Amino acid sequence: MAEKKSLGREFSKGIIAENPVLRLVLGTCPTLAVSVAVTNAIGMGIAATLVLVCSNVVISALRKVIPSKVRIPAYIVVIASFVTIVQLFVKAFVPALDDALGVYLPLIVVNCIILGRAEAFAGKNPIAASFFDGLGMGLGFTLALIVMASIRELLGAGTFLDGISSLTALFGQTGGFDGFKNIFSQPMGILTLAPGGFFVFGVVMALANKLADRKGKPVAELKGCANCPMAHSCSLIDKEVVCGENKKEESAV
Amino acid sequence: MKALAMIFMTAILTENFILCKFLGICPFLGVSKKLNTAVGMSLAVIFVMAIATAVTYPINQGLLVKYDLEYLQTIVFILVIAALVQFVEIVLKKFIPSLYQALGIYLPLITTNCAVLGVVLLNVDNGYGFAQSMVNSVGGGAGFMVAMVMFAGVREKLEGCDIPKALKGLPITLIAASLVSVSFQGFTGVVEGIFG
Amino acid sequence: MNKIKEFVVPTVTLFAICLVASVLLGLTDKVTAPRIEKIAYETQQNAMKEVMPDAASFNEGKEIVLENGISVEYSKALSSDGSIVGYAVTSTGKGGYGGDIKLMVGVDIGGKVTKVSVLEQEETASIGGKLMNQEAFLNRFIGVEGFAALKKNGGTVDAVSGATKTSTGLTDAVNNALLCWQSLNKGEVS
Repeated sequence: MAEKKSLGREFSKGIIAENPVLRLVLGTCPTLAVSVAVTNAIGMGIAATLVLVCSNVVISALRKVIPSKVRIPAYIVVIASFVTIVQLFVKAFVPALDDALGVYLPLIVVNCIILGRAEAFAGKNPIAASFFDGLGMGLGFTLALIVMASIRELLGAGTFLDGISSLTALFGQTGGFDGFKNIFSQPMGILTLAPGGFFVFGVVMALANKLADRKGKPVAELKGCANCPMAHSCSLIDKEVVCGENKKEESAV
Repeated sequence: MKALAMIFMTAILTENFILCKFLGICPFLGVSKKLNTAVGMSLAVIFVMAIATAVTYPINQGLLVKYDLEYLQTIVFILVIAALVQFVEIVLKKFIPSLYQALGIYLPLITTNCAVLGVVLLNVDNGYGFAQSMVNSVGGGAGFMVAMVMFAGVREKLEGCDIPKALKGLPITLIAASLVSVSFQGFTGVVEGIFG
Repeated sequence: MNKIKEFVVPTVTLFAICLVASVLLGLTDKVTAPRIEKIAYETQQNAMKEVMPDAASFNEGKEIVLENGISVEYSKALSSDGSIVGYAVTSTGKGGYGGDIKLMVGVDIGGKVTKVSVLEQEETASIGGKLMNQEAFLNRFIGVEGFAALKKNGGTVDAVSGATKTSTGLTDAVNNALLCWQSLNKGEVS
């Protein structure tokens, strides 16, 4: 029973309390880049969650086999393989999504959430816990993307869930609902461009901070390199050159 | 020559890696607090982008494309970049300690930087030849530097400002980044204007 | 003994992981490659069919370098009895606001544009990019022959106010397709 409860917690923590994007400030690049449309956000979220769950499970299963000296390259190989597998399947079955995500699909490899979870969780915990951790974190990532994308698509393009039929086609429904179009006649186009991405992310982040503050939790901070999965091998933290205020959290490996 | 100059300027201005393509946001937000670290980090990024392109281009053309193994691109590129960064770090430490002092400390950060993998993948996507790839990479790195240095200046000003509580820290940084990015939107069309 | 533990074990493990990974990827590629190829082929065929509705089939694309140094790709469009009814030309135009614009242009055997469709563009989404989705605008090019020019340059094509650059880029791409037809007919390339 206790076991079940803790698995539930591994799952649910990623969604709100430790939301990778809004609380841990990880994976900012894909969040900004693909949150132009809700369909892209959902597609990216599913792809990243798949990679995250698979890599977490495999890395957790191999955690006693992989020597700690070569664990980062080993993790990278595992993650990159799953990314490529997902990429090939997306290309074969949802080509519209492949077009929309472009280079950001293979770039899931360097999404800090995935390497970060491998290093911080899957490398130290049993398989079941790692599975739920990956699922929760992936879902949290997807939710944050959907929140950002809803604002940007609705206000910036005047559409909602545009092009969703390319995703629903995956489940055998062709020619069905394809999203709401032309909700506004004069949408604020800039929100779909790069500045809008930064701006909406800033506003959503401020709201998340406000909510966290009300609950007495610390606001999300950019911990600079402390969040970075390479932190262990990085000499910057020793020298406190960049992350001046962050003390090194773990001793050098 | 004109075509190369166009690629270079496009990579810096209209397709700026950070402000238009959202690649390398982590260092952009994390390392841009002080001007000197912003410059050091950017120089290291330019350096790694250039050698990563120089090494991955022949591997891609000579091995992956030749033997129909294009699907291995992602995994090969990221491993090559990781190994390369380690190798460069060792070489610099041993033979050019002064350069290592200046750039070396930033190198490990760059392994998992999406801008480096991004530029290599984009070069392949765009079907660039060797010279074009190199120009695009150096230009992309230079664009990274322009954005970092500009933003470091903005952040130094931001330090002394009275900011509403909810916006303090990351939110105001992102909104400031948005304004810097607006200014880069103004460059759209300028490269074609100069060279076209 | 220590040396073995320190160097051999990590190397072997890493090597084994890489080996398993490449085998898995190879298998995935075997499964997905035919489908990916089929999709690419169908997309190409559909794009050509759209600009050349009369054609029954298309030959394989060939690249050709035009007089102005720009290279385009064309496919011969064949009717059901195998005679040539025109060409489907993939051409790029310069001068757009967001860089090159890539079009598929159908040119019939007499050198008239049959239809234009957009393959790739990076125009500002809310201004020039909008034009790309508007049939009415793209249809202005139908029936143009010889050389397409905007009205302000003494031609017949209406530019859209506020999106002159996008209009210029589109016109340039159409002209390259027409040039392609000219050089095909001049040199009697078959």
